[in-house]
Amino acid sequence: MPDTPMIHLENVSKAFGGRPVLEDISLDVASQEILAIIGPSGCGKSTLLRVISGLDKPDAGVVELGDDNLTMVFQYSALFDSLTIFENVAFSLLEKPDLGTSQKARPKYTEQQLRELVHQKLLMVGLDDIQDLYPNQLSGGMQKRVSFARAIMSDPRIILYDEPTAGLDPIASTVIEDYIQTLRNEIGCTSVVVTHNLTTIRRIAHRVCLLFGGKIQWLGPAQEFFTTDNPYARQFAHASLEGPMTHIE
Amino acid sequence: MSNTQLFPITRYLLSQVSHGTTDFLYRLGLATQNTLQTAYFILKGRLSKNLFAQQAAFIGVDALGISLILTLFSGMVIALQVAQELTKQGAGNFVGALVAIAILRELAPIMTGFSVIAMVGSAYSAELATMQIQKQIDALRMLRVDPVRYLVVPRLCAAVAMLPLMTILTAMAGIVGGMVVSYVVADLNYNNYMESVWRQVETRDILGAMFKASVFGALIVTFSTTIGLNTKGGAKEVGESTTRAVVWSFIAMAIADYVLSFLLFQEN
Repeated sequence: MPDTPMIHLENVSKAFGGRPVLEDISLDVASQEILAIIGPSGCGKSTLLRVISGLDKPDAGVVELGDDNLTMVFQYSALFDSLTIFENVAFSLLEKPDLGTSQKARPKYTEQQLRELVHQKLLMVGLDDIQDLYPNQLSGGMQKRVSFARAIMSDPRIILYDEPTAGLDPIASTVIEDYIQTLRNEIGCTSVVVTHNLTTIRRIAHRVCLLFGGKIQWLGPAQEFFTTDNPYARQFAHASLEGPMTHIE
Repeated sequence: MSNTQLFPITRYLLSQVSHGTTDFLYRLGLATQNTLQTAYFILKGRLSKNLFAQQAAFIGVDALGISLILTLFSGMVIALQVAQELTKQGAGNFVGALVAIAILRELAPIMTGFSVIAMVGSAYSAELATMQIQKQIDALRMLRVDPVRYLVVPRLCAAVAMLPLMTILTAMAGIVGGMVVSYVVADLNYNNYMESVWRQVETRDILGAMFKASVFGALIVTFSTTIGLNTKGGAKEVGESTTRAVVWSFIAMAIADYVLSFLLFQEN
């Protein structure tokens, strides 16, 4: 268990329409850690991420964050279609904040300063010269990287990734995994990554949290995930039909 | 025979009424919540001038043309129905007044409202519903921007400001349409027609029409955006939300029209 958790969950429960999705989840995530949340489809991974982000309120339990400068990268990028890439990435600096505990005005920038900042963030995710394009003019992988750039514009301390490699080819997935690792190293953020992808766990995760039936079935270091005797972890790691997890979606 | 087998049609109708009432109250609650949040942001002065200007241009460009056509023909139809008859009865001097009052008090705000529902309300609902299912609304929240402040406030303010202006323009089109038809079918002189308009139309008719249009604008945007923002599901639900927004906007406008007509134009 980390000493100074950046994210602290205690007995968190959440149900939808009377169906429990999360039951008594307790979990700590340390500063600068990359935690992978895995599990079969419909097991509550994304719900857990939404509860951490504050998009959904838990029915019971406590969610505490070490820093409220938190952002989320969505499964299908969630870029604003009607805005250019520049406006998307600079959005958090162009718009005065309404929500959150720190509602202080963001610093004023000139258009040129903003363009330079956006340029820097896009370079961090390997993109350039696309500021005046619209999201629908980019490939899925590029849109995903733009959503990374938008997320890191405010130098967040916590980044939540909802299936960042979903729908991408293996090479594009590797690129995205590398950027998660790079962002963590460069801005020193804590990362929680919801994924189905075993390669993502192998390449970037420090710890793995396996959810099933609304509960944490296994939580431990990533290198032990592939060797543990835990029947849930073994079944998931070997993509086996034999085991305690029945497909629930 | 068990109770559940008795009066199946009555039971079905009652369940439909019950479901419809619950749905109406639920949406009314959401719309009220949205309105209160919108009022809060307006009172705090959190209206983006750029977004307001964009939305005002969108409403004007998209809906003005069709509302001009609708009101022009409405004025022509009224004149067609009454000009000959009134002239025969020796009341030709009242044709202009009758057309103008009908247009100003009722048809111009209503036709403008219809056009805005069809061209703008449906577009708002579809746009916000798509943003909701594509998680763009969640993305706004994660960027600490309130979706009501960013998406609803400028649209509502633009509608409240633009609909009265559009109504005045469409009323002018309707009155002119009536004038042309009166001349064609009843040989009514343009000067007599316009003199009749100026004699009978009062300031309160013009202000009442503008006020009605503002209220219609607020209702249309409130229902369209509330329904759009509360969409769940996929492409099918986007379509359903758009239809629902149009239907609820029509109903809300019809109720408001009766109440406002009673309050604004009823003689003591």
